[in-house]
Amino acid sequence: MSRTSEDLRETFARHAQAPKDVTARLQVVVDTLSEQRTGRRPHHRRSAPLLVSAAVVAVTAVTVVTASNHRTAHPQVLAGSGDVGTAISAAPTPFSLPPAAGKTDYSFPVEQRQVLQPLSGPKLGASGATLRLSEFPGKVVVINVWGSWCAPCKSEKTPLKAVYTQLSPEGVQFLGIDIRDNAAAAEAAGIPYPSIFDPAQKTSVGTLANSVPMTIVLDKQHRVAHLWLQPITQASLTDVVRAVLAEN
Amino acid sequence: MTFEEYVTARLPALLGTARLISADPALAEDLVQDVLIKLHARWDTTGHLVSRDAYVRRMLINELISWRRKWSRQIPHADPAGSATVPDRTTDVDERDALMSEVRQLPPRQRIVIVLRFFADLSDEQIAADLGCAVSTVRVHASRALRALRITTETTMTRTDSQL
Repeated sequence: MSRTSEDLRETFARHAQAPKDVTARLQVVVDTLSEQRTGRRPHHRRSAPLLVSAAVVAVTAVTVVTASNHRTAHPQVLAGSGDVGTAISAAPTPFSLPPAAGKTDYSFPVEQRQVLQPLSGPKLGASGATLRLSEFPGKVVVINVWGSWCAPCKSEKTPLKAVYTQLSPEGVQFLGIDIRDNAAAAEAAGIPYPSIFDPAQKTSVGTLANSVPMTIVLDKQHRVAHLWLQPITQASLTDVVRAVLAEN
Repeated sequence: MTFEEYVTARLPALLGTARLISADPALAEDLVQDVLIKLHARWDTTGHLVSRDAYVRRMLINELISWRRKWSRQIPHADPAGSATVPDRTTDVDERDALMSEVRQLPPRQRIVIVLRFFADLSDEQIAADLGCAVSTVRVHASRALRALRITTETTMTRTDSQL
């Protein structure tokens, strides 16, 4: 049999064609990368350590996606890349509680603030819906960790409602994290703002809360500006939120 | 040109080259993915390059070669999914599949050279630049590969000792 270079060209052209699922999987990789690029840009400029952690995440992404697409499966790739997205936004040193035993009232000056880990979970009273902190970009957010079973939470319900009524028209978002609760009792509590239902304390804020109630004020970039490990008073919460609201 | 625009335009060609030079579709996919991630990380500094295609091609080749170096540290296993080409009915197609399986048996550098020459339509000078070797080396690889492909399978299989 005689072969020419034309046969080779033809063979190459035919074998170079990738199946659609391969192209689709790689497109997921591209989308994930470009999401990091566009969506998370401001973080990348902020500090050098972040670049390091972003690189680590990128490497992790390689491992995750490579492992899953090697001849086996596809949905994990999608799930994997979603995680990559959230992991990136958490890359600047995420907030953790300062180790000051006994202190229950923390204020963080602007230059010391740390971002909160991505926060999302099922929305209380809306089956199937998910509530995310990222739904409120650029807003000052008051996060209150509560439970219908917790007596101090009941005592702070009235001042919280008052501050909510007063400040939410000024663009302050209120968000509850309902922990170790049963859904019916929590819904019956009649909290006027939305809550994440977190019975197992698995959300980033639920994990932080080793005591309830806990209230966190996030600035417009969702960095922790103030934190109480005690019931709030109407006056102190209003003062803090107004101060954060006035920042740029 | 943004990273996304570039990749959208060049992904089929990149993946095609990867599939041919790696001789393994699953590996090709992994290589392209690694290249995309690295390229994305460097996009700001490589954005001005006129010869971006060449740069990316070289990244791909380097990935393949370093993957081959890593091979000794990996545990080979059977390929249960059967990634080999499915035989087709016509004799025409049979012949081309036979040719491709012979291409797969070539030593990597020979395969890279003929893929770049006959698939990517590059000159020997460009191929030499991609591989980081002399033009004459490219010609030697090419002529050995072409000779191997013209002769029978048994001979191709016994040739593995003489190459780089």
